[in-house]
Amino acid sequence: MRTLTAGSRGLGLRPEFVDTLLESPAVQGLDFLEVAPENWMQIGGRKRDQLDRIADRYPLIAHGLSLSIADTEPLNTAFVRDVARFLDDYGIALYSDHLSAARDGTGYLYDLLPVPRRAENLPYLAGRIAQVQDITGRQLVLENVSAYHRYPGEMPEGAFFAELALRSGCGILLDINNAYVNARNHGTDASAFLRAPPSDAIVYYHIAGHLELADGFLLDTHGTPVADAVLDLARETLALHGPRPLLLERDNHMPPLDVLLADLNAIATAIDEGRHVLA
Amino acid sequence: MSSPEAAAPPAMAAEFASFCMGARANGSGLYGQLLRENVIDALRASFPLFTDRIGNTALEAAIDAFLLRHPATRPQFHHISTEFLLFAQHALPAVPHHLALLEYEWALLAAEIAPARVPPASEQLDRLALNPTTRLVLLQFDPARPSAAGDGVDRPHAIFRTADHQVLTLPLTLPDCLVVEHLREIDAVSLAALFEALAPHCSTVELQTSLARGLIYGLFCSPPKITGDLT
Repeated sequence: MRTLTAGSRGLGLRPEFVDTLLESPAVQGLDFLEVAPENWMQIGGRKRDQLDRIADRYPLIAHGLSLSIADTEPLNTAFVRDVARFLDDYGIALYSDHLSAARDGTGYLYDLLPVPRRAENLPYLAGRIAQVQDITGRQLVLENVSAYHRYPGEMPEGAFFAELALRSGCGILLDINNAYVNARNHGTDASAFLRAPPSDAIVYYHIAGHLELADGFLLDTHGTPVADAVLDLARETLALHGPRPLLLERDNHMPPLDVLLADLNAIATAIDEGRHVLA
Repeated sequence: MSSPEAAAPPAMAAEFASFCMGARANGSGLYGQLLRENVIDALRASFPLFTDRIGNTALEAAIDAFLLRHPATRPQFHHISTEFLLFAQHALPAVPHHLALLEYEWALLAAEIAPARVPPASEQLDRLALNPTTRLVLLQFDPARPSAAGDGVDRPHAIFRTADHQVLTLPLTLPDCLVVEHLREIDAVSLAALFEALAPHCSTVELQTSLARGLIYGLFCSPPKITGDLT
């Protein structure tokens, strides 16, 4: 079994190409696969069978959607325990989710919703992160989300993330496209966001495509090729923090696997070459 | 170890609650649209017959009501379908056939993803068990033509996943129902004990026919071996 290194490249495991992956030996240039635990745990049948076989060929990392770490309800510890069992069963060391919420007092809303970034909220969030880390026995790694809503008077996102990592010991999954989308939509400085977190807290990178609407607003769709401006930001990120495992997210308008792998390879090469120029 | 969980700061809770209420109530705002798109995508994938039959206008109205009122307790996205079913059963003024379609498609989905492992067919059958993914439903329509309105008569069917991951809907005869009910009560039984238990209710030929059909389709199987199941 291969292990992850700073130069590893991966894709999110999608039903569209599971069969293709299973038809051949482990693909060169695809070093790991990212799975959303919620989409696979406590599920049997064909999906379970597929995941068992995939896990025999590729290192897996887990990237959740439903932890809702930043909601204001009691932590769903039963769910976290289910995730922990899934991670243990598949030998997954790296568990990430989003710094966002998916639930209010009524119930789950099934999206990654932004929460107010205020200094006084940090102890509460750090406590929740500690609970998750206790239950899973792993560092929780949190991703910066694309947020289309801003609360008035919030802390800068980078400073908030840096402080949260310091207080809680959580890792950071730096989503470079989300950083770009937020900066464009809210008129903030993506470079300032990238500079804020300590390098040693950054565990891996996400990169993806976005959709630009007619009015210039950006939507984080994971359905288009990665924009040049995001590649530029990725080079800047790697020059600042160094290489980490890199994952290309693609969830919509899926190209064939060989096209996706070629994209991943081209992105990684372009970032790496540019990084040396910037450094 | 972490300390017991503190409550969220009141101002954080109030700000976030206000934002969420806006997204739930306002389908024209961006987050309102995103929530609705997530639900509609999940429902169209899980319930293609229901969503097609109910039509876009009624579906959108149902999703608005679902988001506004339903206290969804299951975090996983694939449980949107279960949460919507619960909502529809209690709060959706649907045409009965629409609700029946919804329940039928949910049962298909539940059988497809049920965590239980289905034992492969065995040459040696010492003991008999019910396929562990089985769900029993009463259908008033023909599952081969589910879009057609039913005749108002409930007919028992078994929905289950085979060892090779096919989901089947099998109409049940009275002897089938007797065997299924017996197996549900006692998990697994020898063939001799089964024949003895059901002898007062149906003939040997009826039982043999039922067992042969159930074994061919995979409704009945060998008892599953105890393994380190993820569930």
